[in-house]
Amino acid sequence: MKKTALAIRNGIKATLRTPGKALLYCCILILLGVLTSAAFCVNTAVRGYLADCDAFYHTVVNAEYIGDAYPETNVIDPALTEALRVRREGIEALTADPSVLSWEPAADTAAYVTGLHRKDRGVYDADEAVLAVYLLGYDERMMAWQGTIADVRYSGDDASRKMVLVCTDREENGAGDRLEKGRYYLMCGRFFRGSSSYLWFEARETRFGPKEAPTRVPSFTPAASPEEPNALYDSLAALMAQRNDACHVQFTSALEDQITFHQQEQAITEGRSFTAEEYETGAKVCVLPESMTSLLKCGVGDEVSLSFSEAGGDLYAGLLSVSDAEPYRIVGICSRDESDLFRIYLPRAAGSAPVPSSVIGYRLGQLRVRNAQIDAFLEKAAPLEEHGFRFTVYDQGYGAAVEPMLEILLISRIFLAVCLLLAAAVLCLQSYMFILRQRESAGIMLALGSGKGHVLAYFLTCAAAVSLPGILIGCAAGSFLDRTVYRVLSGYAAKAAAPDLRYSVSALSVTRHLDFASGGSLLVYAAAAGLLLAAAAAFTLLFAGLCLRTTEKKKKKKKARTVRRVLRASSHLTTRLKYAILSMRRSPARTLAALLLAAAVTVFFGQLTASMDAYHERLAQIRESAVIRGHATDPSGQQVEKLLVSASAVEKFVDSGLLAGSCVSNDVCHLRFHGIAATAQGETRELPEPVYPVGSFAVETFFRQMTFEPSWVRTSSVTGNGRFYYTDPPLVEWLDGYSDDFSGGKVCVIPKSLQEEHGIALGDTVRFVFAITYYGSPFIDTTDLKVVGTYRGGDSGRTVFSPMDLTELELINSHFLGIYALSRGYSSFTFTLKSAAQLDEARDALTESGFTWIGSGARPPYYALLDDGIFLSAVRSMERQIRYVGVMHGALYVLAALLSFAVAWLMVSSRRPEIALMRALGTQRGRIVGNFVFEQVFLCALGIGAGFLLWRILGHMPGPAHLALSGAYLGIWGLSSLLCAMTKVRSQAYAQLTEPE
Amino acid sequence: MAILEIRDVVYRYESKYQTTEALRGVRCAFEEGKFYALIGKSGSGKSTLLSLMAGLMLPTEGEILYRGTSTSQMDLDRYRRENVAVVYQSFRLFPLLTVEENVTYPMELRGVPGKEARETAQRLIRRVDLPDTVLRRFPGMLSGGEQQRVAVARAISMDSKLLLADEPTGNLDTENSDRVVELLLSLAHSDGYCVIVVTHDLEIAGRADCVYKMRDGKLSGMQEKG
Repeated sequence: MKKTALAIRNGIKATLRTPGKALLYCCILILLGVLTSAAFCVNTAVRGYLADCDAFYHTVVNAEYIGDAYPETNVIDPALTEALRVRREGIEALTADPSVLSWEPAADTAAYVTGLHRKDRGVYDADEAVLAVYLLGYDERMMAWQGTIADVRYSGDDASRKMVLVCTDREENGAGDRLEKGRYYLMCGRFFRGSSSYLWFEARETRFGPKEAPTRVPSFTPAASPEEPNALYDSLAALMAQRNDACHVQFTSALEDQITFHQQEQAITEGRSFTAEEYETGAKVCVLPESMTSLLKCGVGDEVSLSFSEAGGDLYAGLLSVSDAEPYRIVGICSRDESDLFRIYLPRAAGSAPVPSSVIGYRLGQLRVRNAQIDAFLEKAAPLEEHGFRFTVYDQGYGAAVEPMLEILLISRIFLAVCLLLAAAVLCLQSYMFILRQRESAGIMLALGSGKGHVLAYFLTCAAAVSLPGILIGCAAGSFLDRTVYRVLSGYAAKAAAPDLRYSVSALSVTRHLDFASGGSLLVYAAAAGLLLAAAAAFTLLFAGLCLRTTEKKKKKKKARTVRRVLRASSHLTTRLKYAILSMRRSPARTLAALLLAAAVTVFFGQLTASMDAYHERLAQIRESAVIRGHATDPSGQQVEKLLVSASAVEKFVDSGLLAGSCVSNDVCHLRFHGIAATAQGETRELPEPVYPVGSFAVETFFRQMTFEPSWVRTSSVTGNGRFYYTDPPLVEWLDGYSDDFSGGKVCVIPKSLQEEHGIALGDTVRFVFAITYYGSPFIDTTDLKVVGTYRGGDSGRTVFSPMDLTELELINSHFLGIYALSRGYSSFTFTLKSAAQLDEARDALTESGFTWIGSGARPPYYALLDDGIFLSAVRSMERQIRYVGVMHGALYVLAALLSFAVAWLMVSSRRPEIALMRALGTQRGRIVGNFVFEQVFLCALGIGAGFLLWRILGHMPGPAHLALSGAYLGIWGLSSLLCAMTKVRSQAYAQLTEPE
Repeated sequence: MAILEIRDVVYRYESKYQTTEALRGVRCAFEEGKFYALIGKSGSGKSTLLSLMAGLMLPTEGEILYRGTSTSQMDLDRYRRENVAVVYQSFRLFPLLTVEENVTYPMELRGVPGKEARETAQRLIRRVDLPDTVLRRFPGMLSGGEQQRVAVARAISMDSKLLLADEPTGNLDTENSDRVVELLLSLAHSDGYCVIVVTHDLEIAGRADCVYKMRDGKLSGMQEKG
């Protein structure tokens, strides 16, 4: 024990008796301690924050299919059904991808809630009804029976005791009955609330039940009295009630991740969400919207009875029968969803949810994707997107929040690695200085019988005397500085997390904010200190071991070599160059090492600058080659068509000169093919007059039927039309002399299917019947349009395109449409930017033109969206790489500078006896310093020259950055030589000459 | 009884490529109160023998007996700490410890209390004809002769009766050499030390009580005074 105490005491004394050296290393270690512990803590804090972000933010991907029926939400799109069948494997692979946490198909089903009678317009068919009608007589003028509603078996509206005009498509029903004046009839059908002021009821045969053997209900049947029971009609009325009072039911395995909740359009206002156990077991609990609870007059803890559609979820058409009512306890009440006031949420347990037989609308479902793997997911989803599927990401701002933090994390890692590397180098040097240079002391101790343990204790004390206070003070100082570091980090993160995302598709998701909470703890600083101290101890033991193994033989050889070198050096003191060359020749190994180092560093710098240039070039390429499209849209950012876009806003934006192309269009009305009025060869054909509907009901019916005919759209470009925004552009076959930017008034481009169906040839003039409403008045007429093109693809032939200048001509015997179009604007506006590099200017131009971005709340809301997601992602990725590479290069440059400084210092320092001898021989100090600096710079310059030569041989030319870096290397080398020579030349010559090796 | 006895000692330096026999069956004995000189040409094995006697290594064959006990059966660290003192040509003082600390070091290793060790150090410094003022100085601040005398003071502080000296005057001028030799002689003759000096200096050898000559790893002769 006493021996150890002696060793420790002597170790401390030995350290304190070299105060300059000890203080220098202590200060360096304090600095490294501060930096290392700060890097450690930043690393820990950022990783903690990233973990918090991962839990706080949920990335949800909305999966949709842009099919023929898009954007209808209540119809079954056959194209979607077919696409799901063809791409089943791809979809299954995507939903089973490791990046996907959960996949919730749009498992909408319907449930009947006992006691709920819906009166809103969101029901399946508010106009269907089963009535008892007393017929007053036949109205010849209206071509319909006039009657009074005597009893309402079912109606979505309160229709009792109202006059009604009854029409049937047939005068007698299937049973051969005929309608007669002055009798009661039970009728099924639907009210018709078109543009007329009359209440029409269209009695029609209705079927329900299984498709294979449906139950048929005749359009009317006589009744003795209005209240007379009729099982068939009463069953139908009950079914209608169930169907119209039914609500959407959404089974979910994560309520908070449902898009409306995720996007904070809905929230739990009372009670709670489902628990994990409820999700797991599929408990009989539910969350109802407040619109429903207020109607049902119930609250949290109450029970509601639900009967589900037993048809497997085919929401309305399949609601043929319902299951027995079961009680469900209300655990939470959520705010109302404006798009669906009566949506009920139930926990989805595996296998418990009814699976719909086909998807209704265009939404396939949603996926919860691992936040950090969204890019990988989208990459895998890309092949499906080429076939009409669309995946919209809602990340709640995760990307923006995390992106700068990831950069900080990586930079802190690089910084930490550099700090640790430097710390290792300093500790290594410190151990060398304090231990290996005390070999002699170790030898004396051993000779005096101290034992190896005692020597090790002595050396450990020497090392600890410097490193312990240095590291502990450094790490403690780091812990005091942590608040400042975190403040700087938070500021940077907040700044970096707010890029300009006006009009960007990346900003569709609602943004949540998670504060950066510092994760600094004493444990982390203690760990950093522990690591450094462990390194110090390891180096101490290593050098102590080396020291104990040192042999006298080696020392003798070294001494002899030094004497010879000093003697040789003394004979050549002429000119600097001569001295330098002679000196280099005398020590070929040292010279070669310095030359090779300089050459290698030069080539290395060349490689670094070349790689950085390549990154910048790639970024410039991305900016130049990227094509950014955009479109006017609705408040949700989904719609491309059926909008109302200000014509003046469009014109201003187009005039900004930032667009490579744009397309505007207007929906006119629907067209019905009537015949070929003239052939391409000029032959005119006589066509019969179209049969115009007579009577209000016939006109209403005609208008309704016209909605099934192709749309007539005026557009400035067929291929650029918004209808094809999400799909591949159509292949258009043009008549000679016409092209995509077509004009010419009464011309049109028709779908191939229409051409084939009616045998239309390019150049033929086709007569179409159209129907429009102007200020409530129906207007039906014909127009002749010359077919100048046919197209295939896109929307399966549902549109006839005409040029925008159509309305400026008197084409349809009226200028209604022209007035309409000019006063109201466009229904679609799509555009392509001239250059992705002008993205910011484009954003400003959109704002200046009168557009606004989603979420800005500006008025008037002419929303626009730039499809810049892929571009921004690519640019961000490349910029991030450039920053990372920049930081790494910076670290490498610092290391190269340190290496240059250290090696140059050692090169001069190792020649102390030579310097001393020159001093002893009376050489002036300035001359000695000049000689050494000249020699070192000459040597380094030669090496750099060799490096450039090698770089040129490798096929590269040095760039300005390369030259500057190499120059800096040379400068540091020279500076280090100068400082070292100045230091050595001031020492006592005698002391240097007699100093033991 | 001899304080140190060398019995048929053989020592080989073995390396990967060659084996060199430095000592070949050396046999001799040393007694307390005598001044011995070990002379011979370079490479004759003097220093190797001194290292073996100093307990820095063990013989390959044969044995070295300290007061009848073989060094191979002893803890060499303890042997060096308590039974043998060595003075080197290059002084081998701790450069970062003061003269006093250098001298007290062996005593403190043995567990002598600090105050007592310092008093002893002061006495020993006077014993080697150095003023008290050197006690606070570092070895680097002393002349070669002074450093060697500090080394002798440290050696005798070890309270051992066996003192080995490896070319103790090799780095000293004549005056300092004489003073060191006088000191060593006095230690042998007045204080009863067994002083064994390895030297090239025939003048020192001439003043020794007994001279062993070494040649090619063997004792080639012994000359005893009187």
